[in-house]
Amino acid sequence: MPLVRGHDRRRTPFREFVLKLHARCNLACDYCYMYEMADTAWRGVNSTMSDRVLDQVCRRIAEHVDGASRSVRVVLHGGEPMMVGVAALVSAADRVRAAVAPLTIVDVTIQTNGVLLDDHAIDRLCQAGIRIGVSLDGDRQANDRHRRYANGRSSYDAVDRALRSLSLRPDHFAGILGVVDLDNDPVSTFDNLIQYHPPAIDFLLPHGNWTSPPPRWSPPGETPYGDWLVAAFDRWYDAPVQETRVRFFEEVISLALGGASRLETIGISPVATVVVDVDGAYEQIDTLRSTYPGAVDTGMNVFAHSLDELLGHPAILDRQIGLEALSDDCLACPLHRICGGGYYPHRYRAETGFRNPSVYCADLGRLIRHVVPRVRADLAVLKGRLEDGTPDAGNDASPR
Amino acid sequence: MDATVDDNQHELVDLSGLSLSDLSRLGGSVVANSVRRILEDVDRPQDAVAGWNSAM
Repeated sequence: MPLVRGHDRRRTPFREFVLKLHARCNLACDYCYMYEMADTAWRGVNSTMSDRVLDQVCRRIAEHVDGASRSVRVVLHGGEPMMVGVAALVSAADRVRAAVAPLTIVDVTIQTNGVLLDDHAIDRLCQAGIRIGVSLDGDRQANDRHRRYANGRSSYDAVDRALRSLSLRPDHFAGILGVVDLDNDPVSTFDNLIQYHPPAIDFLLPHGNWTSPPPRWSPPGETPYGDWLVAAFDRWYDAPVQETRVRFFEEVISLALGGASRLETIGISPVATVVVDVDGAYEQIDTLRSTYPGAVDTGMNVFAHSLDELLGHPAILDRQIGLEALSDDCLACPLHRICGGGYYPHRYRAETGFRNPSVYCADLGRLIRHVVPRVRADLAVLKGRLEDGTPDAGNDASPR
Repeated sequence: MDATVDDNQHELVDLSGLSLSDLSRLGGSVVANSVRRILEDVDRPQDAVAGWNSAM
């Protein structure tokens, strides 16, 4: 499979380690990149990460970090990570922390569908210093469109119960991830998620690419996903006092203000994430499973290869070379320093690989062209007030 | 195209003339917090890396 462009240059060490502790899931969400899309390799691997693999992962992280980073992040993931049991989750966190202590602090989070997240589990995870992110798409109707058990039963009640408990533990609540569905009203979706008082929300675009377009995707010129995001953005942005963070929108604003992105879906900051599968195989970010079978494979693993060696893998480098990974079409577009070509898996086309604009190019443009004037107008008003000496506050000046 | 040439500054928002203290005038709004993040990054620069999409 053609890579975009590989270059030997300064490499960015890994700072985020995604550990797939369990390869199966107790839900059967129909949009899942892991189990419902192009790559079915999960069928052939063990269901849980063994102690032997985990110990070797810890050794590899320790030798890679070696005191050079003050902090790194470990994400306990799956499949559904809660399926390994709370004791195993706490043990994994403890072992990674012990491996890199005392020079490096490990921020451990778990991303779960929430259905096994009862009060006991929440208490144990909180006590272990593990922050909890939950996936939910909105209200019951929104959730049940996709996030059901294999027998068709709704998962909503269990997740709702978990989120209500988690909302009482704000220090350990990482936030809510929701997948955009055009059938869900964006404002209602935001309002439904905000009721749990999450410190952060993010709206993920459903995975798709030029070869396998997203649901209800339409050719350039129409921007249904951009329109959805704009409505959600306005709901979030117009609050007199910010109610929560919305990660993707924050990154758009940051990039528009000349900053750098901290999220792989937008901007050109180097990706410093590695995924370790349950059998110890190093993988690229596993949302690439939505493109073609084997897209995540590196052919390297924790027993045979160090993380330093993995950094030299062409596919890893391609996520760290910024503008050079973009297509000529993207480089010719004035928005590329903000969108960064969009999310890497969304650029895929079977004939040409990843050197294409995002399949969401028009939608991203719609959002960016909405956000930038709003922010610019608000700051112009602020500057005017500073010059006039007029005391005031708020962001109500910008055109909608 | 030369990827090192920045030909799109007009797509960005000009922050010149603003300081952290000015942001008190924007209260706790989204835009204030966003500008605060940028100005703090300028004060305490660090290598920006992109985090994973599929976890909060």
